[in-house]
Amino acid sequence: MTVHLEIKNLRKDYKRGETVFSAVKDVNLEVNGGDFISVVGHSGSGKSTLLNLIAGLLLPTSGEILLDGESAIISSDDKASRLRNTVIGHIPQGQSLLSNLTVFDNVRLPFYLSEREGDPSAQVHELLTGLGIGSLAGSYPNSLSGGEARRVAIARALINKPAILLADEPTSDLDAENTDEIMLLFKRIAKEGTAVIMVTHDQRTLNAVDRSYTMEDGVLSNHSV
Amino acid sequence: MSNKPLTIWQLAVANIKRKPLRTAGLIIIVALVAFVLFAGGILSVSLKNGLESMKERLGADLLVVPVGYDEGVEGIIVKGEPAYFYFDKSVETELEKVEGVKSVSSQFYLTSLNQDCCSVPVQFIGFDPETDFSIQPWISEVYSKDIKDGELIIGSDITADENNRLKFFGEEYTVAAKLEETGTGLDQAVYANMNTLVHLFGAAKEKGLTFIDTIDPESSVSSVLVRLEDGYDLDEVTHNIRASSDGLQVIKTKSMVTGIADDLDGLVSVIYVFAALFLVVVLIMLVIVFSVTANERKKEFATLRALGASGKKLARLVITEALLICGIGGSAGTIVSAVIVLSFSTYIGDRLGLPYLQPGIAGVFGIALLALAVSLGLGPLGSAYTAGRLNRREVYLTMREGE
Repeated sequence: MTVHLEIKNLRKDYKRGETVFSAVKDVNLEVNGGDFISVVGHSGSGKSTLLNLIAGLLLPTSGEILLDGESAIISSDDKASRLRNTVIGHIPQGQSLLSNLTVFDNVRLPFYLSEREGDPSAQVHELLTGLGIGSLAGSYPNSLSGGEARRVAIARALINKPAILLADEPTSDLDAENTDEIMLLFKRIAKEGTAVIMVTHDQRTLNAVDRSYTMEDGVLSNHSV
Repeated sequence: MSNKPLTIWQLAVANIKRKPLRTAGLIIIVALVAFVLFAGGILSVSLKNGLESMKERLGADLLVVPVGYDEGVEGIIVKGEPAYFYFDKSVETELEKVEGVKSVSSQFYLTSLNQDCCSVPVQFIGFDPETDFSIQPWISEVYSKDIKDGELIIGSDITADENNRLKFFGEEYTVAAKLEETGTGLDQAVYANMNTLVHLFGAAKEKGLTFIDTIDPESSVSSVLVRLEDGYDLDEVTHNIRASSDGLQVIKTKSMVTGIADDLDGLVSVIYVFAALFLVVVLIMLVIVFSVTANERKKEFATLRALGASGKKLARLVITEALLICGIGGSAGTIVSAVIVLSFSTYIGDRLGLPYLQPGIAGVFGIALLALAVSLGLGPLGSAYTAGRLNRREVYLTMREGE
């Protein structure tokens, strides 16, 4: 399943007292299945807001988000959540695993957040083995290293076979070796047809991506790799 | 590793297990609510039942006793405190002639001190089967034959031996029947016809009960129960009786019941106010705890939202957790309350000094269900504010601010 994501003149304004400021200013972006792109910017530049708009967690002030030509801006939270759960895999920033669930349960959790038939167990084991952490299925998040936890989060994002993978600072707090491994994984995932969109301020990742963009004060601009 | 589907219920169970101390604290608070509700419910219903039972059992409009013994007769009826007092039997005949009096029936009181049957002194009540209209209707519910000389009818709190016999003042008597519980002092009374009472009186005298030395049981009675003719006013007949002879204390049974009802209303109001205040305090506490907990869990909720959980699903998760806590607390509190309140019902009734008749199994079950339902209701109510916040679309942004 490949996808064509098109973002047109996307804008998100916030009000702080009497002042209106734009976290995302008229962003235009096109991503296809198989692309691996990064959005680089400092903290507060608007890159996470952009990711949340794509994920449907926020509604834009104006502009369009088209998925295969159809609007992905959905006012119904139920429908937007369903779209996020089926089309988008999300790797939130930092430690995002649920500490009271095992690695196995963390990974299969998104499968049960929408109505689905079947048992994802075999797929969970396949994903964990593919990411080199098959032996950790019964472990709890507090016993994992930073790199292992990030791989579990990636496995969890992939469990519903998403067309788009959104990664928010996936290499923060990781050493160079783990960062390289995560980048190789994303490349592999993109090669299999998934559109990978990563927001980061980690300059070490720039060589791994197909295209890189810079975000500053809500404005997205091309950045040659 | 379990392959069972990961439901909201399982997530909620895992979440409440994660903070065992906080969960235990909340369970204890809700258990206390259920305890208070069940105990308060049983208490108020038992008191109301006791009053109703007393109203029905009295059966007379007026009770006439020697002057100064109004508290004595009330003690017998309400608290089961044995008493004895006598006046001349001719009072009965005189009262029959008073205008407005339809029928009269005398009773004779005697107390035992420490007999084998009972840990507390027993009140004997002798009645005349020919004229009685107060006791026999109740006896007929459990014993259809005439009560012979030497036979006793016992209150529900008195237990006969395995041969259905009781020994008083060195002599054995046959227990013909045991009355249904009334929740009043009359449960600790022994009833017999006048002949048996005279016999008991003689036996007591032989055993050295000196306080009755001067009394002739053949010509004395303790109280006369009076029924009014239709259309006569209670105050009017009371006045007529007082005018007919000296040394009589006339007690309006309605006033006695009203007095007890006033005490009871006061007590029941205190129970209700306390339960309501406690409920409100606990509800406020739960709203605060769930809200603070949700703030601590921003990151977890943000992750669930990012993975595709709708706001409704997060709200359901929080409400399920609250329901689980309140369900466990409510059940535990109701069970503990039932064990304590039902086991000590006799003691509670005695301590209150008011008619106390515990409801039957269906009533107890109903009150338990109500206590459980209210405790369970605290869950959705206490978590509604938090659930409402989680149901908002842009909650993810708020959550990120907490990182």
